[in-house]
Amino acid sequence: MLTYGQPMTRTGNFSIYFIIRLYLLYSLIFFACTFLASCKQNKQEKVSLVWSNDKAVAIAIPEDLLETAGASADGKMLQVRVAKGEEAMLGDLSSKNGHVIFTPLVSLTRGLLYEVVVNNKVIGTVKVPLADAADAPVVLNVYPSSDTLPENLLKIYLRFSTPMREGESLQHVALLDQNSDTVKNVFLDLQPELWNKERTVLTMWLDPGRIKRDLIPNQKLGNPLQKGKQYTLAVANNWKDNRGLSLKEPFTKKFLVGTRDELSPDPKDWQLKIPSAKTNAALVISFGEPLDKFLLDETIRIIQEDNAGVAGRIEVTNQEREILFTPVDNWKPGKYRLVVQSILEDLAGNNLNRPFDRDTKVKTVKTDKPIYERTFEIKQPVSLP
Amino acid sequence: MKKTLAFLVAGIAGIFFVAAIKPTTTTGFVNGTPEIKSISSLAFGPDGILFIGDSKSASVFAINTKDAKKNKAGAVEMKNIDKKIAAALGTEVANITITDMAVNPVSKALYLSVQHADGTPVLLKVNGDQISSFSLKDVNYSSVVLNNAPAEDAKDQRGRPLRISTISDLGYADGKLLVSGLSNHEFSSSFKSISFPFTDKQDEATLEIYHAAHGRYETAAPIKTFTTTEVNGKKYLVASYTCTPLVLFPMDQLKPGTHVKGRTVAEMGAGNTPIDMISLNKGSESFLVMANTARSVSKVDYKNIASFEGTLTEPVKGTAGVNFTLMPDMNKVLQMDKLDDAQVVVLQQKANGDVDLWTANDKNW
Repeated sequence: MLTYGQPMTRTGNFSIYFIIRLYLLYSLIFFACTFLASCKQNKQEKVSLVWSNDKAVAIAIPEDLLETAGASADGKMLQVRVAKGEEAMLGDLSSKNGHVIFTPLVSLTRGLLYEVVVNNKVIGTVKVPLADAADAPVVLNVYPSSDTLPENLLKIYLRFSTPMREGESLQHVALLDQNSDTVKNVFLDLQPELWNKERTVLTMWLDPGRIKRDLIPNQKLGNPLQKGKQYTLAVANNWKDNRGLSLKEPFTKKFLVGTRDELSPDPKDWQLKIPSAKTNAALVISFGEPLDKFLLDETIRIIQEDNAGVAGRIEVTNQEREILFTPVDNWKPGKYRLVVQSILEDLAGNNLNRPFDRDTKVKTVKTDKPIYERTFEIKQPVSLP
Repeated sequence: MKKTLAFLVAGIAGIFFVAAIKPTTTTGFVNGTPEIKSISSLAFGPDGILFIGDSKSASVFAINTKDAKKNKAGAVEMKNIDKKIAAALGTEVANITITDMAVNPVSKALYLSVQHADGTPVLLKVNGDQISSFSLKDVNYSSVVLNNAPAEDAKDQRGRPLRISTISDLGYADGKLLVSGLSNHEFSSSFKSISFPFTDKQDEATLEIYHAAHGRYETAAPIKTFTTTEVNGKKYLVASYTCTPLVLFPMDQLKPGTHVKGRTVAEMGAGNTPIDMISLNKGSESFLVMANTARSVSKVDYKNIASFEGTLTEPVKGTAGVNFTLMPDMNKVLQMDKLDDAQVVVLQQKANGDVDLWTANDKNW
């Protein structure tokens, strides 16, 4: 028995030396095992991701890792799969800087773990990190932006900060009535959905079969929106963007429904506020009603007397009731034409040539003009005496 | 004698020359990698030519698949095809959308287009229980741009066609590629007929198609899906609209620059959008088979459609007009294409949420 303060006996010293040696041996074995294990781990970690434009587009596998696993360095024996999956992914193999590069048909999914497999044995794994939640997408705008909309409203545009997942809008967008109950069958189930090229603006149609007079959906279910009632457009925050990030927060927009609009917009009725020459002040065109935001961006041009277009910027303002046309260069005195393509629509889908649905029993002048024009004159600034 | 021989040689050379310049289905094709930005619609043309509707670049690409060996139609079946495709792409089901499906009428091979959540399009081929990638790198192809560039000169703004943002359907009939499109801004219909093989000159007819509801209310109406058929020797375009009516146009009325009014022959009921339409022949009878978002696949006899005359003056009652038969167990059909006159390949979402690929035959209806 060893007690503190007593001299050590020979027998006691032997036991201590034995224990110390045994301890050192164990430590050595433990160190060696840990070292070997860590070496193996290090090799597995060498499987890495290849990034392009913030997307993991390929997996790089070191050739020596393949050779250690008994596979040829060209990578022909390897398979890549989602961890715990059974199916091998489709993709191309190439070689670069001592690595075999596996490029799948689509970019790798954030949050998923991938396995590199040779002869049914996992030789390496790699996880694609989740995107930074601070970059979560948001709904930037909803058009029409007015808070009073016609009973026969045809379209709603949603504009997001980043490209969103397609094909699932009806799972995330709802129209709620005054009691916060979801109004059913309001939006058209349209596949593929109508997105802009960047996939940041979605066009949603209110069911045209319910808006068009006398069609069965219109007779049975009535117009999707009822005059005098208030509604809330709600976008749920579980909608994900193309990086797998959900919307930062839900979005809502309240609006009141006004009367049905069955009249085509008429450029003759528009108010023009004409700037003076030698300035680049905006030409203000007021429509007297909100028009389609995205068609306004692309259907209006200002033309000089010599038919040359005036370079400038169009800004849609006042809840799509007016635009400001600001020229790049100062206005020159002279006559100009405001040229509007007839495809320009109001919020109910009435364009310059025809209302959304035309009653053929009512005699109306039917036009088929591609453009409508207004002329105006830019005058010299009035000089004060 | 020498002169005769010279004429003979010249004559033979002439025959070979004429044979050489006679256009083939791949006239104007080039080898390379087409810049396909999206695949929204697929349709097969002649000799294994696959038309790919690319909404993002507003173009149609004609790909020579070289898959033109005649094969007998065999039923295809793959349970949980969406999960299998997601695994093959290395992602989850929520990240993929099967945008279209087409059977090569010659080889009977099935092609699927898939869109990944990040917008990347993928073309896949199904052989038995195997899914493989159909690479669009270094292929033999040609293409046509659907949207004419906006005229820079104000004098030249006339006749500017609707800009398509989504190709809603493609079809090939009698040497013409037919394209219907939707715009994300304008509520209007665009229907084009483009000569194939494509030429540098845009040989196309752009038609504005109005839909007249019960002979009273007339609207521009976007076509969602269409097919062509022949009834009693007369060719028809059968189109289905976003507002659910089924409309018939005699093909000979579709002339360039005209505003053609469609004759409503039926309404498919409320809250429904057509997905796909095909024509099947059974003996001497021919049928329209149509998949819908809100109801089972419907079948109608073309004879009834062709003989239905009343709709321009009388309102269509219910889903009537012409009689539809709803096919049992054919709800939630997401895609559909014809394998042969007796078989239809169907992509269907089952009640438990699984998406299965299977082949319906005439016993199913």
